Amino acid sequence: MKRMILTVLAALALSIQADAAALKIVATFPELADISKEIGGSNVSVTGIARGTEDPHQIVMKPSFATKLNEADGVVYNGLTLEHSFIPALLEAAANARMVPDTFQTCVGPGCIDCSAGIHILEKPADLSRAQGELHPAGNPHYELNPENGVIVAKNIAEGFSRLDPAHAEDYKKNLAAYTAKLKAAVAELKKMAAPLKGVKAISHHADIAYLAAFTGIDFVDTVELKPGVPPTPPHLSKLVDEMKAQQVKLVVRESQYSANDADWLAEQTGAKVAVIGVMAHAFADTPTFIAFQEHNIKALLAAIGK
Amino acid sequence: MRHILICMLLLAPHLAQAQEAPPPAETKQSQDERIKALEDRINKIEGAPQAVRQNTFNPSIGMAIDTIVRDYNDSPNFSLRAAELNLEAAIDPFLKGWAVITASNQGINMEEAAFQTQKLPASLQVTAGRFFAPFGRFSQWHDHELPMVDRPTSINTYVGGEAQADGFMLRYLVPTPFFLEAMAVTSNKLGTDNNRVDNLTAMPLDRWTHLGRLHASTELSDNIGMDLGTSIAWTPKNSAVVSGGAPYAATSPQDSFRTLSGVDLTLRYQPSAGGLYKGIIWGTEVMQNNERGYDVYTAAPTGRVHTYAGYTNIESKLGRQLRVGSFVDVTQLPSMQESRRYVSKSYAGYVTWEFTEFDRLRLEYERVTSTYGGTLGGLPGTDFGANDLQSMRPGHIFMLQWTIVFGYHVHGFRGRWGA
Repeated sequence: MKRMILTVLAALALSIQADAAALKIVATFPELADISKEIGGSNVSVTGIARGTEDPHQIVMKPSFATKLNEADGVVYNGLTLEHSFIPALLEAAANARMVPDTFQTCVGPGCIDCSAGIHILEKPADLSRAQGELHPAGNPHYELNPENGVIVAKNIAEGFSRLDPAHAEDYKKNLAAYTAKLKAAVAELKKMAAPLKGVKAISHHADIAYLAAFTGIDFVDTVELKPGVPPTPPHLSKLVDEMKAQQVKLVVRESQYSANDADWLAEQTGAKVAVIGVMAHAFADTPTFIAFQEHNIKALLAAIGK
Repeated sequence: MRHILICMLLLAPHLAQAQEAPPPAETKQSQDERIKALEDRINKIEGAPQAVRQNTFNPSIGMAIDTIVRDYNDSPNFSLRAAELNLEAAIDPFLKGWAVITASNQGINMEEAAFQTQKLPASLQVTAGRFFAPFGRFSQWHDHELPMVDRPTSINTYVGGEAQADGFMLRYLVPTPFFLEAMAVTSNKLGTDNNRVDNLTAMPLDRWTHLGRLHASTELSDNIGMDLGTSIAWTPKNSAVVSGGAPYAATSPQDSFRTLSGVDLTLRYQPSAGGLYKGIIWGTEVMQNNERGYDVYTAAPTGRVHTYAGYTNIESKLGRQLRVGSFVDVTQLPSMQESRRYVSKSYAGYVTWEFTEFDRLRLEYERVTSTYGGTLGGLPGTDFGANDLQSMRPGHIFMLQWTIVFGYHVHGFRGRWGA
């Protein structure tokens, strides 16, 4: 009995030690959690916040997230204010001195890993007014819709992990090299696949599509939303029908978190096809990783134009 | 001739440079490194935030305007309930500060003006100044953020509306596998409309308001979460504040002793597909008030009176813009000997339509019944005046509320997880 207790205690101590050795990371979005796991390997334990099926602008805040952030060594986030509706409040509740909420930078402190550093930002607004909808002041934050940006995200994560855990910096460097090679191969394949999409005219539900347009060459002419974050009005939908007919738009891109009603109605009125894409990993059951969700999106777009 | 001279002068440096020895050939590796370093710099520049301006260090500024058309027993009235100015900024690396100033039909009021630590060790946070104390579910919500038009009568009567407190708050996030926070407040008083105490009178420390709250949260499944909270406030009366009748003398600790306690429960169903756009939230809160009553005619202290109040509220999110909800509130009027005779009941249903995240319209119907049949001039021998009793008047109330938020607003409609 005594030996059994000692064995259990030893196992417990070892498990606690192993847990203590791992870098504890919270990632805001599932694809960031995926890349963090690829870079961190066994040195890092990663917890995600968003579930993939939600609207990234309106992630449900659960109090348990504050507990996770309180225990974490670092937080991996998209940046460019995409997480403004949940991360500042969660960081405030987490009371973790390594990660302090900040109005301009989202997060300040050694534990903050901003994946947008070095991203070529598109659609920086010239006029910051709510009359233009729910603008992101630093520019369009949905850069993860361009698979090529995954390389920069991975690099930022590796740099962040090396800063927090210099003892394993070499491991992170090796993992980064391996993941970058895998990602670049996948991106090259996706680029080939996406060739038929170049020049195709389309509309999207939300104005989050600039980076996808840059990768595929799709010509997005308008959005279902009246302005970013502002649901469509009947006159706007009616105007869209005329515009789509006039410009021969045959593709409606709906981000999976938005209701199908408007996109389906527009397709019915104009004869266009609807492609449902994800803006996060785990948006669909078969898209658990960054690469899988990019593949899903390209395939969905191709299927909608009959290629 | 002059042109030739100018051309020679311009070309001279280049000719001189051309005569210098050529630099050593750059290896491909160093070229690659240099190009990569340049690429990194360009990427960082392209990704840099916009140029700073002179007002960069000004606080973030926002304004919420809350307007209500209220028809009480066929007597309509338009009210500007609040034009709320909100300022917030980091003070230094260790503190952030904020102020909330409200103008309304009632005048101008500094609702909050406080600062909070950002980097205390051991998961501790200290807040000081005027802030909303954490008693129950809605205590830290401003009126315009509530899921219904008016704060439930039970909270208005027992807490005193918004749980304003001038003092200090210590918060500790307890290191448990589930969310558990412990909060302690020491302040002059609790509640904006609490007439038992005022902020101007100096008092010994044992006559201040002392409040404690524990708030736990756990997830029953990926889609269902549960919050449980318990609060207790020692919040004595400190002066003979009275509306009508003979003034009493709440001078001894025994006479001024008042304890307000409560428990609250919130259940949230938030399906994975839908996020904030779909789901059901049910919450309830029960409070007990324990204080000494006074004889209406002699003003002599009588026995201690325990009264109870509470509400239950359910809201369903039917889409990105539409929400429907209802609540029932039952309140026993505290602080008087005959209090149990006076009970107010409210039944309400409401529909909320959000044009955008910053522009919201709400229609509410509320039926109030009350066993209180007196005039509105205040209850003799109690701390209640006409305003306190407004929400206990029986009748049919139709309300149309239009609320907008512009600029930066730290506590937007969806900015908090509390309900």
